[in-house]
Amino acid sequence: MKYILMMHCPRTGYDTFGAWPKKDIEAHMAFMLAFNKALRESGEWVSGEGLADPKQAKIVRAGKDGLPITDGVFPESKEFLAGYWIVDVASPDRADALAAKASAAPGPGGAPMNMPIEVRQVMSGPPEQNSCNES
Amino acid sequence: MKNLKKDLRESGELVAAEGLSFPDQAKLVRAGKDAAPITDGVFPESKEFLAGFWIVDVETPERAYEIAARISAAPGLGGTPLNMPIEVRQVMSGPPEEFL
Repeated sequence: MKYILMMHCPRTGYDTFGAWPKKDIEAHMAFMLAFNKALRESGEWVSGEGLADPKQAKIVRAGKDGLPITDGVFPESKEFLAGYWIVDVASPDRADALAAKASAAPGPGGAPMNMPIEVRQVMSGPPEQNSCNES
Repeated sequence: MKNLKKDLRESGELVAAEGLSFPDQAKLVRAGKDAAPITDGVFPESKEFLAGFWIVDVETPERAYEIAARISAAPGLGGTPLNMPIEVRQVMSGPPEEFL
């Protein structure tokens, strides 16, 4: 079963991260690279990406003519997606265990950050019937 | 949605796409002091959830907005365009050099 592990960060997270001592940033990145490598080795890795600074984020809607209407980030957004992993695991508990591991990535001074990781099941395809808009 | 996926595949712009299961199953997980997972139900104040995403490899930001607008206009009840908000973010190809 496939799960997505989503790492959220506060709007200020990217600035704060860049201001950490260099050795703490390096330890954090080394942890993430080792985490990714372990997932690849266990065969659980499906995909993973890091997202650019939310200051560049836009919200897009189609206008009446179908053309894009772009808007800056909604000012009320306090949290943004910083990155995610999609993993293929044998059980929901395994997804939780991996999320906990990512949650404990080292922060300033090497202390575990214990950040919240959202865990959602990934659908392998659209449901036969039913969708978000019909339920 | 199926047509869009086909078009993006044909233009070579599709990198990945996934749909997520209903948010009533969503969990927030943190490591506890012993590094064991502490799971929590969805925060009740969350009003919006990620339903799915596309990763596209495009020449310009404007092209990403165009694709987002097409997704936004997916037909809803009675075939009316939903005009749903689509968040557009740049995907990093890897961690910045200075962080390694």
